[in-house]
Amino acid sequence: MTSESFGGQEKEFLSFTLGDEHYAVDIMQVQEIRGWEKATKIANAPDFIKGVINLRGDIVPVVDLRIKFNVGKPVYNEFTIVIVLQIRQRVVGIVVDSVSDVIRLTPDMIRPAPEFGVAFDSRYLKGLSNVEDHMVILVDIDELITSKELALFDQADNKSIDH
Amino acid sequence: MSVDLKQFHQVFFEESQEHLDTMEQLLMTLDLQQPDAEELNSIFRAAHSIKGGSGIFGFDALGSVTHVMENLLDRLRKGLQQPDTELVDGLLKAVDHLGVLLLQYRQDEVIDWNFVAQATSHVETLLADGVSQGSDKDKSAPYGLFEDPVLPDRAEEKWGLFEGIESGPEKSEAFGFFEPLPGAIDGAKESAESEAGDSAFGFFDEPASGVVAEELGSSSGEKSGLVAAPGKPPAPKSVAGKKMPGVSPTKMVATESTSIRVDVDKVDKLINLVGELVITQSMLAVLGKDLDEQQAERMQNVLGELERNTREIQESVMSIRMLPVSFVFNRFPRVVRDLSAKLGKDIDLHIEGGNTELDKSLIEKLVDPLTHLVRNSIDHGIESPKARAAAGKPATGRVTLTAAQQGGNIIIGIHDDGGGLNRDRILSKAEENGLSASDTMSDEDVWALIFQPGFSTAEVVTDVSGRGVGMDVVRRNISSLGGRIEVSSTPGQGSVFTIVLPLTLAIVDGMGVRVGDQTYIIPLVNIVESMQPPEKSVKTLGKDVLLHVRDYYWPVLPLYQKMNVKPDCVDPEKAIVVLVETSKRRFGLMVDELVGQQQVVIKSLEKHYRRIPGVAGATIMGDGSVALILDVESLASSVVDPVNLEEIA
Repeated sequence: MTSESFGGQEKEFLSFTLGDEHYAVDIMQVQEIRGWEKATKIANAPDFIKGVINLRGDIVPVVDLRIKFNVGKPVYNEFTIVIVLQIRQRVVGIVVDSVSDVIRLTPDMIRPAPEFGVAFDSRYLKGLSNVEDHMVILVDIDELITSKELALFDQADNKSIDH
Repeated sequence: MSVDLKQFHQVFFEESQEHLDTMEQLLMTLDLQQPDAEELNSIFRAAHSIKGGSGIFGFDALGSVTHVMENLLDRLRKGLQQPDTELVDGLLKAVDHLGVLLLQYRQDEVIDWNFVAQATSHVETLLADGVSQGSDKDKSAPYGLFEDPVLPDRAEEKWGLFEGIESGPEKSEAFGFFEPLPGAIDGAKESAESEAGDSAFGFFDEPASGVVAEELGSSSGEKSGLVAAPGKPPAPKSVAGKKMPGVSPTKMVATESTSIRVDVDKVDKLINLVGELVITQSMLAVLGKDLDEQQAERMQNVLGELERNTREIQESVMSIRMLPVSFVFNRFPRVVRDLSAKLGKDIDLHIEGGNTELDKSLIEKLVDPLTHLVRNSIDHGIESPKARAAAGKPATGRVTLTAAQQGGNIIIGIHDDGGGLNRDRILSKAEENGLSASDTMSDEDVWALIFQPGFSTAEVVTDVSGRGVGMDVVRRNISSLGGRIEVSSTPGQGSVFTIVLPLTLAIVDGMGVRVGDQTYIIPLVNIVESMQPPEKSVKTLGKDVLLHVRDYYWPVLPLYQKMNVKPDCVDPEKAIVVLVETSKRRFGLMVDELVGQQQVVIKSLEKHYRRIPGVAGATIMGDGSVALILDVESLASSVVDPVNLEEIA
C-alpha cells in the first residue's frame, strides 16, 4: 500500500491531532467521525485497546493511539473524537484529540518521512507535508492497523470475515 | 446459450445432490423381496433427472453414468431383474461415483474419464448379469437412447407424481408448467427435446419428457383431472408427436409449490436485521420507562405491542433457517450399512425424532461429529456377534439416534446396546497417555477422559476409528457450536452419548451479571443456580475459595480477576456466586450483582476484532452498550480441579 501512486491527482486526507502533532489519513478509509463514548472493557487486552463499542449493531474495537505511541495525554472528555476507519473490510475506531480539516495534497507536496522524530515507526508513514505553516504526518493507517504490533486481528483470519 | 446456461449450474448441482440423496435413501430402504414400485420409480426418476440435466449442461460424465444406471433401474422397476444386495450395493456405489463427479463439476475440476469409464462399466456389469438372466423375458434391449419399451409404466410414473407419494412440492411444481400430457408416441427424440426445453429453466426436478403412450391418453386425462381446474375437459386424446409445452395457469395455482429456494445470505441478512430490531425495541423499552405518567401508560401499551410483534417476527425469521434433523440423520443408514458389512457386525439403526428442527448452520456442522460418534458406537460400542451371543444378547446390535427439543435446547442422543465403556481400560489408557486419572474417580469423570486429546482405547487401530484423534475433536466441534456432549454408560448394556445444542447460534438465553462497571452475560444453559453464599459454606484453601453446596465443593472463580475489572466486593460472602456447569467441571463464578435474565443476540467479536479468551461473543444491551457473553466452557479450564481438593476441604 505504501507504493500507492496518486497518479498525479489530488488526494484528500483527514487531518487530526494527537497531543501537539498533526497527522492525516487517507479520507477514503474513514467511515465516520464520532464523539467519544465509553467502551466495554476487554479483559487482558493491551491498555491502548480501550475496548469495544456498538456501532449500529457491529461490535467494533477502539484503539487509543495516544497510549500506544505515547503522544499527548490520554484524556477523555466531550472533545475527544473517535475516527471510525474501514480497513480491509474490518471496522476499527481510533481515539484522537481532535479532528482538524480535510486537506488536499498532490504527490509533489509530499516529502519522504524521516527515520526519526515521529512517534510512529516510519513503516507506518507515507510521508510529510507542510500545510499552513505546520507539518502534517501522513499515516499509512492500513499498514498500522493491520500490523502485528497492534495485534488487532488474529493474524490467521486477517482475510476471513465471519458473522 | 452456454452463457445463459451457466447461471443454472448452481441449481442443477444442488438439485442433483438432492437427487443423489434421495436415491441413496431409497436404495437403503428398498425391500429386496418385494421392491416397492413407487420407490423404484422414484429412484429411476432421480437418475433420470440428473441425466437430463447433465445432458443440457454438457456434463457428459454424469450423463454417461446415469444413463447406464437408468437402464438398470428401468429393468428393476419393470420387474425384469430382481434386486439383490449385491445390486443395491452396486447402485449405492454408483451413487457415490456420481457424487464424486458432481463435486468435480461443481469445483470446475478436470474430469477423470478413467474414473467415469470405471463407474460406467461397474454398473454395466450389474446390468449384464441381469440381462443374461432375464433375457428370455425381455426382448427389447435396454440400450436405446431412451428405453421406450413398456410405455405404460412410464406414463404411470408421471401421473403417479400427482398422487404425491414420493414427490416433494417442487416435483409437482415442475409439472405445473405443462398441460396434462396425453403424450407423444414418437418418444425418444421428442422427449430429448422437451427435456432440453424444461431443464433450461433449471428449477425442475423432473424434466417432463413427453414419452407417454397414446393408449394411456384417456387414463392420464382422468388422473390429471385431479389437479386440473374443475370443469376443464380432459386433455384431448393424443395429439401424436405434438409437444404441448403451454403453461396452464389454472394448474399452476393448483400445484403451486409451497417452497422456494432462497440464498442463505439473504436469510442471514434478514436475521441480522431482526436482531437489530430486537435491540432497538429493547432500547425503546428502556426509554419508555422515563416518561411522565400521562404518556407512560399509552407508551407502555405500544411498547408491549411492539415487543410481541418483534418477538413474533424474530421467531418466524429464525424458523426460516430451521431444518429437520433428519437432514443429518438420513445419511446414517448408509454409514451403518457400510460399516457393519465391513466389520462383520449385524446392526439395526433406529432413528427417532428426525422431525426436530435445528438451525441450518448447526445441522451442517453436526455432520462430522455425529458421523464420528456413530462410527465409534459401531466400531467400539457394539460387540462382535459372537461376543453378543456369549453375553446372551441378540446377535443384531442396535444403534439408536434420537433428537428432541427440551426448552431452548436440542438434545441429540446416540445410543448403542453394546458392551459399554470399560472403566479399567480407560483408566489404564489414561495413565499410559499421561493424563491425570485415579481409581477413585467417579464414573462420570472417567468417561470424560475419553474426550481428552490423544485418547483411544481401541485395542486395534482400524480405519474406522481408533486413531485417538476423534473424541476430543468431537467435543471441540460441539462446544464451538455452543453445545456440550455427555456420555453415560452401563457395563454390558451399552452407552449413550448425549449432545446438548442451543436451538440457534444467533440468540442465546442468558443471565446478565454485573462486576464493577461492566456487564457480562452468562448463557443460561450453563447456570445451575445463583446464590449469596452463607458464611458457613465458604471454605478457603490457600488463595482458592471453595463453596460447599449440595454435597459438592464448588471452586469459586472471581470474575473480576479473570476479566481484570475493579469489583464492588471481593468477599465471597457479600458477593453473588453463580454456580455453573460445563462438560468439564462445575464451578462458581463470583460477581457483584445479578442484572436479570434476557435473550440476547450474539454478535461476533471476530468480525472486527479478534477472539478473546473466556468470551464467546458480545451482545448489545437495551441501553446500547456492549456486553460480553462469557464462554463458560473455556473459563472452566482456568479453574482449579476440585477433585484433588476434596479430602482437604
